[in-house]
Amino acid sequence: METESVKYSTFEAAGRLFGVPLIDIKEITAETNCTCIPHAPECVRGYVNIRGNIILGLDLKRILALPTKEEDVSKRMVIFKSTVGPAFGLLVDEIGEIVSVSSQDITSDSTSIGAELQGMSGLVQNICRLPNQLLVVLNPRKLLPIIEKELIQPSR
Amino acid sequence: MVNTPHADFVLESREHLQLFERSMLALEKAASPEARIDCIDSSLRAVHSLKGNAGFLGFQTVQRLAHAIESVLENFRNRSNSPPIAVVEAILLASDRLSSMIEDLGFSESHDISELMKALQALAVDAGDPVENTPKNVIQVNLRMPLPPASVIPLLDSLRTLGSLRESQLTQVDLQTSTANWSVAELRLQGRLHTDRSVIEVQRYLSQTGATVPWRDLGAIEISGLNAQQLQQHLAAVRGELVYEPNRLDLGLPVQPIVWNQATSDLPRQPIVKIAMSPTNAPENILPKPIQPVDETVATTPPVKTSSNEPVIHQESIASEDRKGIVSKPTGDTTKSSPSEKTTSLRIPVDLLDRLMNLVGELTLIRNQSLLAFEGIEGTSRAVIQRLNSVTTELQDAVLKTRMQPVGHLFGRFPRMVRDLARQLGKQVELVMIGQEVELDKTVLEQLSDPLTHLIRNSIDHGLETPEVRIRSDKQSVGRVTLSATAADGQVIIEIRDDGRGIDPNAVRDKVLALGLKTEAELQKISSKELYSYILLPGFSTARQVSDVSGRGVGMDVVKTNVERLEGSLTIDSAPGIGMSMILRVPLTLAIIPCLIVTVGKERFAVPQRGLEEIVCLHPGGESSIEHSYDSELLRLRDVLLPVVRFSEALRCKSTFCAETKLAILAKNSPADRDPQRIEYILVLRSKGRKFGLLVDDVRGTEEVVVKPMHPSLRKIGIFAGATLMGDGRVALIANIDGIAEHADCYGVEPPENSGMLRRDPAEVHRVLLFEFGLKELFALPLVQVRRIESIAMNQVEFIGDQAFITIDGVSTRIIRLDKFLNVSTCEQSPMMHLLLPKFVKEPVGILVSRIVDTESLSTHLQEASIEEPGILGTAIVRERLTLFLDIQYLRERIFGRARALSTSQSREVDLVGSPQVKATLDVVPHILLVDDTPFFREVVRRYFERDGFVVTTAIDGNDGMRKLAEGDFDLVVSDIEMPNLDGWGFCQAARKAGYKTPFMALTSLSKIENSARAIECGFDGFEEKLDHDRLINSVRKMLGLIAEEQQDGN
Repeated sequence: METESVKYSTFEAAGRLFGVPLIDIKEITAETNCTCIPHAPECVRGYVNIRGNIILGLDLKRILALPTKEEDVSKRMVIFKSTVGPAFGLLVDEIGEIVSVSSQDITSDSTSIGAELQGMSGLVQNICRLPNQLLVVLNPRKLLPIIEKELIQPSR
Repeated sequence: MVNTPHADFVLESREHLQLFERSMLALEKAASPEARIDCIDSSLRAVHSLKGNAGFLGFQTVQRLAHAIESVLENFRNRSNSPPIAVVEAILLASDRLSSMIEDLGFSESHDISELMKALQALAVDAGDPVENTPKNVIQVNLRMPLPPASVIPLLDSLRTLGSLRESQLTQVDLQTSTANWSVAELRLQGRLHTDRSVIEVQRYLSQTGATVPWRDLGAIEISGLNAQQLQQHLAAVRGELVYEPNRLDLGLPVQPIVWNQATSDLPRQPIVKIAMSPTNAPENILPKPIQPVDETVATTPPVKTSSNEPVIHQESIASEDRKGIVSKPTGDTTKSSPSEKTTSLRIPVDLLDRLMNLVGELTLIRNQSLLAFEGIEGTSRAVIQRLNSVTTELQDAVLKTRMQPVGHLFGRFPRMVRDLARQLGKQVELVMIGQEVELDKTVLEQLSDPLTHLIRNSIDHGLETPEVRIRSDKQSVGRVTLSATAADGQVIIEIRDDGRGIDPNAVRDKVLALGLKTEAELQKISSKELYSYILLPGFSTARQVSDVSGRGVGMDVVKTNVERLEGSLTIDSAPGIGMSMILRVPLTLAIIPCLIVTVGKERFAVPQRGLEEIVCLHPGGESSIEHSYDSELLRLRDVLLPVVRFSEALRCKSTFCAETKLAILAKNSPADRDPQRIEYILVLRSKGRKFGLLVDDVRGTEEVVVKPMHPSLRKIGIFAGATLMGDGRVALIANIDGIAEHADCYGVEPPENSGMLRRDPAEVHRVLLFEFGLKELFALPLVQVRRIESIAMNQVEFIGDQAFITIDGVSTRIIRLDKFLNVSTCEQSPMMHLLLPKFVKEPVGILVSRIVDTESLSTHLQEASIEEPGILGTAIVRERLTLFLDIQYLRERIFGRARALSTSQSREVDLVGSPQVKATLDVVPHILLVDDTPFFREVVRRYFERDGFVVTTAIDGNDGMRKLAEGDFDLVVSDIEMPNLDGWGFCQAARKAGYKTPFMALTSLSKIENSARAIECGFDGFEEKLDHDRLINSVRKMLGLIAEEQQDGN
């Protein structure tokens, strides 16, 4: 039982480590050239052309309201499978390694992370203890609903 | 689709059934035995294949029913007469049942078909030969008449009453030699009249009907000087179809040179005679021009002989047996020649095509990138790239074509519908379909189905008259509905035309007037087409008066919406009494649309060209420029004022434009600040029948873009229709013209006044309009108190004594010059000034304003009042200037006096404080606790109350209110709702909990409808809107019991 492990693809945003289940990812691309979409919520960076397919790029830092520094440019986009949601991806700063976490190191208790990440409508799925840091596991299925909600009732 | 044998079976069966139905309908009209047998054979084949497949797959019920149908048909195969209507009806009913069983294959076995079977079996057995009515005489008829023969049809009608005309041929004589003049060309009608009467009788009969059948006049019809319209009518009389050059005629807009397409069922089919008609000729000059037979066969050999198995006259059976019968006919005449029967094709799932389409899109991009990369490089690689270029383009075309389907697929369902509808309504209808081979994108085709169905129903239901009415108005008893499709300029034009009663323009006009959509004078100017477009409005659609008179309208707005969703348009034309035509224009495909590429800021946007009328380029110093009206920018384009929407602002502002946004935009773009070097580009766009200008930074050119829909999560964004990939690989957004017009509210209507019901943006309450009158002072008025701002020409001001008036909206409006009432500087008069019309003031007054400065958020800058000056509520530092807040009520009372200002309270004549009567009834002056967090409103309302003689204590929020409640003794609490710390709801609840029985009134900018329930729940006794002075004071008085007491005093 304790040998069971889950693979996560990790990435960095604003200096923090995040991860999503590896099986949800279609591809990771370096193409982050966005066309801004007026009227879309703040956390939508825009449309990205990935080999003729138009992908909606969301900005993780803006979704989580993480501090954005000048030098932090989103260098990669994590594109999800269509089972997660239609044609969308998450813009992140850096791509990390793929980690295997055994189930005993995974907790759904989110008290150990910063207050700003709590209460993101279930976006934070789990917390994993890695040897030298904590990995915040996100549920990518919760990303698009955040956008839709934002469009109906803007927070600002 | 799951590719199971059953799925294939369903698909195939659908085709079989369609073919079957077509053949049956053709059979109904087939006259010659050969045509009949053809029809029966073709239906037999279809039903037989279906039966075989069903048996193979084990669908026994389907098989049994199909077999029964087959048996009935077999029985009629070798008869000389066509099956009676009842039989056809029963067979069609059975085939309907078959079709529903096949659509619901899983439950096909549970269908109860026993009754149908019984009926069919009875028909199969009983189909013993009916007694043939052998005619006594067969008379050879041989007539010659000039073309176009207006009398052919009446003549045929007469012959029909005598007997049946068989093997008839209508041919043109000497067309080749006589093309120089229409009047020489002749038609020859030959045939055999099967009749019970003698030759003498027939001749006598025909001569008796001389009035309608100019028997003796044949050959003497004057047709010289005929114009195109008359020609059309003449040709229509032979049931041909004349398609003519646009703009030649008033009715309809077909696009090709004249084609006489004799799609008639009465007359033998002939090769189409094409008559080239030069569009440059005036109609009067058309006829003397030589007529060029375009069709080779016509030109070389006179079409004396038409193939013998073509149907000749096949209306007798229907006409005599059932006067309500209809004749409907696809142009693909007999089923044998129907192209759809031969359709041999592969079935390809649509998703595969979509994927192919995407891949081609990608390839196009690679091609574009390669072109860029190899630009300027000579050598072999260049040739390769060019080859790649051309192959890609061809591939794209080919793939697009795979999505195209002939409109015949869609039209195919209409003959049956028309037949059933006509029978049901007791009308005789002939449906002519033209251009079934025109191709349209699959998605467009699918979405056209409902609108077309609706329009055809409309034509038959409301447009066509009953046979009796038609005969009375000298029309043929059979009404005709023509459904035609033509392709032109990347669009497909589908026209539904009928020769019914048309629309009565006067009825529409009356209705437009009644609804107040236009004034009489405006109506004089608009064209008839514009007028008819009103019947597409939702209000018209439900108006029975119009549809009773004109026979149009129900649900037309739905049709229009559907068509507009397809990026198409719908126009209507009509000639009262002659008929009407509805023209649908839809794009060939939705996948690729031509767009204009524009830039705003750094971004490119694609604007669909379909909605584009023209591009106006405003050069600095040019004649035209953007003008300002009270709240919007306007472009004067050839004396028509169009609202101008700045695309940049529409993109920037996320919420639909409100009055405040518009004023802010106006302030930002005042004509004085305009960059003199800048060229302004304005796209004149059409949205929902109205035009507006869209101002963009630059126009780059046109491009055919591949449309990708917006991401599903972003569908709520109305201003975009989709996205596309540009040549450089970047994504560009495609503008939604209607969405932008809506977003910018550019045809905005003023909301009804005093509508506390309307939900208003709370932020608006806290915004003020800044304006100047004299040179020194800056004035402010809350936006909620502003009704609108009007530009006025000072030379139109009239004076009565020293009072100035101007007419606005037909009302003489008193102009308030602030320097006359307040101690403020006077202003230099300029020819054009602004007039600020305040809200919540019943009397027509306006404040004269020399300049509108801006709008500003109030809460940030306001300071407590520091100047005690009547008419000034307080001051604030706004933009580093001392700003005076006007007291509108003061000004109003200075002008009209108190009594009139409060005319709604009936008997009040004297000031409350000064009135000994009122004083006598009250022990103390009423004491009001006013709770509001905004200093400005606190001040305004406090002044209202104090001026009315009340004592007012103020509190800044709910907590403060609770403290004040404990300290004093109040007769009434008036509280704002939206406050920091403790809001109005909480405040009232807390007060009620603490046992205070004082009446509470909510005073807020929130909507009354949505919040009144909550107000009662929290313990409020009243609910009023901020800043409506009269209502507020009246309510307060009512709550204090003052009005009732005064009325008693008055008695």
